Amino acid sequence: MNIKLGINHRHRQLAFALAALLTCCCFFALANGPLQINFQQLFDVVSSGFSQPQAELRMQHYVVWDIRLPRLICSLAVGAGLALAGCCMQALFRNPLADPALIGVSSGAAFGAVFVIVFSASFASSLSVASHFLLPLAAFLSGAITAMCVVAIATYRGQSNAALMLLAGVAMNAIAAAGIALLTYAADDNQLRDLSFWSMGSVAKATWPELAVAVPLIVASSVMLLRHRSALNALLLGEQVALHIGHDVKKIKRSIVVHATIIVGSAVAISGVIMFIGLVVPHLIRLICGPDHKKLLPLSMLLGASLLTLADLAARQLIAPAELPIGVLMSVVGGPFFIVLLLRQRKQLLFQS
Amino acid sequence: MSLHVQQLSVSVSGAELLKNINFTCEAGQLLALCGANGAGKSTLLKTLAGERDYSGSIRLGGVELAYLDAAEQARLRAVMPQQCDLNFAFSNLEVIELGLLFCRTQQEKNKVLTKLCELFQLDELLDKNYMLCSGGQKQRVQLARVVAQIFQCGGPEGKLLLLDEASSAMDLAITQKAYRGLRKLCSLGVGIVSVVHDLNVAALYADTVALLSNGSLSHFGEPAKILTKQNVEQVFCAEVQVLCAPESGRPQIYSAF
Repeated sequence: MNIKLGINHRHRQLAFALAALLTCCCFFALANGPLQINFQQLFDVVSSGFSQPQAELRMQHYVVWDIRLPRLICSLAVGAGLALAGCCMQALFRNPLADPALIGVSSGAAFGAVFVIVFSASFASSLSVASHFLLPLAAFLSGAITAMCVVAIATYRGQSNAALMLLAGVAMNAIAAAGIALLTYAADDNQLRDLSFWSMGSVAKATWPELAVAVPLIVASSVMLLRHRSALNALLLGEQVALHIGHDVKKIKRSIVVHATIIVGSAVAISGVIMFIGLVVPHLIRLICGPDHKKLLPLSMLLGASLLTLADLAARQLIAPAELPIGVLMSVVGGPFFIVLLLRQRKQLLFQS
Repeated sequence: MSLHVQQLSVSVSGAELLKNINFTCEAGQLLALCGANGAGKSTLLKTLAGERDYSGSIRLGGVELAYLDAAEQARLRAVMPQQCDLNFAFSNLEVIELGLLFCRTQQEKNKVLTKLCELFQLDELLDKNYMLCSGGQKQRVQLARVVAQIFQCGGPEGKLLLLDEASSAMDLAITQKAYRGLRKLCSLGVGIVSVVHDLNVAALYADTVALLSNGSLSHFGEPAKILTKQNVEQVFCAEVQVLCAPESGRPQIYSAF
């Protein structure tokens, strides 16, 4: 009898392939653009750090450190974070259709961020530094409230229902959209320009101070979520069954909601609303590697980071020199993908007892 | 490790679901819980599994159940639910592995899984996709998962299995295999409390039978003594005939036309 548990060839190969893909994406993200930078120049510029570069590399240095590197770090953190949050929400709701944006958490977080943008003018100007903390904090708080509402609506006696979850998401999206519309009404012209970015999503707006707050939050919460890899597998059997196996289900659920929402809130704070990564990436990894979270979580993070970086490259190049908003690009790709997913799951969803 | 239940009562929203239940299940015994629909069998099993608040006493190996947390309970007993839905494409092997929370290394897990395949003949099922299996095959896998759980932490001796209709979707052959496997577990010192719908399965494989009626324990004892025409007709409100099977000496119940 051949017992095959644990990591096997296929998983290792995929992990290497994704790591290679990610490295290539990083290189192209830094090298490509209106100013082409070759490998040697890139190496010199990156290794010289924040310090003053040589005279002939000044332009490249500026472009890499002030424009492309923040953008790359933003897309890596947001892509990996949203993919991970998507995996965890699918485990929490026991349904592969859960995605932070679909169930309203992203727009809930966006509402908090928009609130800070519109009303930060009325706060004292000394809060300008604090606004880097305030923005992710507000996004997290309103995202958390939204997540808790959806969990409360869609769960009854430990069972959650996909239809309820998605409908609760529709309701939350509507409420958040209404709130954002009201705030938009109250905003001045400068703020309006900023606000339009929230609805379309962009990784180009992140500055180093914002990244310095949001990225450690995303990293820390990702580490906390990765601890629950085995527990997430058991959770898929049902909360009661996971409890009988010996998992501390209440603590794990709370941890998932809190940390996934921190990730989504931080991601929204630096990149606006980007949909479908949490849906597309876990699904693709499951197709190749199966649903075991011990492999799913790390591989999803790798693919999510690569995917968003690639999408950003495409957004920059497709209609160059203009840029497509990345959220629009993800929705254009992710929307039809979601429809394909629904069609495949239709039989199962319709006849679920 | 034995299970002692004393003066157990459970009520939910004022309705009394279980009234003053008293029984013991010793290590190595298979206790069948039988009764009509709504008699309280599943409620009793869920209470034993720690899912419901209760008054009275449930002692697992001398320790009161209410004082044990989820992990401590999981080391002493495993529970098989009536239904287990899964929306993700795990293989049966991966589903069984989910029960092995306390196994630290891959070697420990492989040891447990080998023993399980011997007990329940699972070889041909292991690689299949759980979602694509039939109801009976899913039950076999869930049973294996649950038994795997009690094989951890120093082996199955003295542990408890709580089964809620483990064989409801199984065919004749698989039911036979499953219960023979359970009897082997009993010989290894495992105590089993199983809700059983089929009285003949209870009669054939159980050491003791508990008949529940409207939330109370109306009869308790060996199958031959308990499963009489009078008792069964009283509890189930149906006409039956009871014969004694020649090979096993156990009662066989069949309903009148």
